[in-house]
Amino acid sequence: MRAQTDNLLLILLISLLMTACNTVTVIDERKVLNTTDLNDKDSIVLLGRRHSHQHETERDYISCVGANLSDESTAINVIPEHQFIDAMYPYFEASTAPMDISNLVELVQQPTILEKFSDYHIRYLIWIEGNTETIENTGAITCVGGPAGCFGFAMWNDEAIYEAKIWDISQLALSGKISTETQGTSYLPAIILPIPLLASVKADACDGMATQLKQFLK
Amino acid sequence: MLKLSRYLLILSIGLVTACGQSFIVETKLDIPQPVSTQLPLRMAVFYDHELREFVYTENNEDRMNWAISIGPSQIQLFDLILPAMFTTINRIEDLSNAEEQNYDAIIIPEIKDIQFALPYETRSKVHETWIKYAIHVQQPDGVEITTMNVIGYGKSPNKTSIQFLLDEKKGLLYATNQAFRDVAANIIISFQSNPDIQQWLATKPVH
Repeated sequence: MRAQTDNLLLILLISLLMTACNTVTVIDERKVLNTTDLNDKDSIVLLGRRHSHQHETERDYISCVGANLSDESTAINVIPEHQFIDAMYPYFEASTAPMDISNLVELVQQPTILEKFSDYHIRYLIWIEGNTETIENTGAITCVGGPAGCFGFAMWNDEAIYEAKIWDISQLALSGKISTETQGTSYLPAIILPIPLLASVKADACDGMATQLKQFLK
Repeated sequence: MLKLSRYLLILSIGLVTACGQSFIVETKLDIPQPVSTQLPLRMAVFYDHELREFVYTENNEDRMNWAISIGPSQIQLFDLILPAMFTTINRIEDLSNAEEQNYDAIIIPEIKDIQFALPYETRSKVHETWIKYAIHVQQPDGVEITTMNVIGYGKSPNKTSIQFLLDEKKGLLYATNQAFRDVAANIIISFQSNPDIQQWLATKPVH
């Protein structure tokens, strides 16, 4: 009987370890215009949408996608988000940024703005909207006398939904859209010590978005 | 007279702080240089005493002896953005003789409201600041062209205010600087898109 219980616990632990950290990513791409290859001088900018204070796109997600795009394999010249926003102040703040391509067309009527785009050799401006949220959590952990005396079990589901809109600056037109949807479940069993088994939902959504953007831009 | 009122203000803040726990800070401005999109106008700006010396005060159970001086940051803000908006901008100390100076218009900023929220008061556990200005634009003879009501919002970064909780001033100053940044951006954009300003620009006599 004791051996059976031990086996059951072992199976439960192994299945937890196998299923924990699993994420599912669904990617959708819609090309509106044909893209041409970026040349060595061309740059791109990734910007997060933050006009709604409740659902701001995280800065670390934008940095993550940017870092992935500018890695050695692709070597795309990505201008850091904060650097671009500061240089274009006040036209790309959360409350003033162009919401659609027609606003951008209006904006570049100002010679100083057009000059800035030209100085940075910006070919594509990519807006990313969305965020990662915990959509469900269950269970509870009780700790007595500090973290070395915790018992219980908690689990939660994270969902990352992001959409990128790619604006072609040379044509002043929407070039395409890419969306990613990632879900994952994290577990936190605690038997004396809490053992976090975390699903890398945001990181997987970042990889998925960056991979798709690479294909789109190259 | 101005010096005397400043001394009185410092003295009153001193007296307030002498009575117990206090929170006295002066905001700092750290915003980027705006992209220059100057309108070919000869403008003047008038900062009244209230704007220059503005101190937000509050004294209750939650916010004991608060005195947040934002006057100098406000002047710094307008001194930074106005030269990016107009080819000529002069600061005037007296509105009464503005008519003789051949200005196209006078800008008079007025602070209408400023509010602060602390992490324990907000759902996202961050510091937040709201600031509201009325930007009066008038002809040198005093006739109003328009008044633009402009709001700015700022908050400390998500999920980092736990650090700021250790230093109340740091989080609040960060949020206030973000609010200054936002309101300054909105002033520049509002001036370019305000229908009254557009109409005035279309009909004003060329000097």
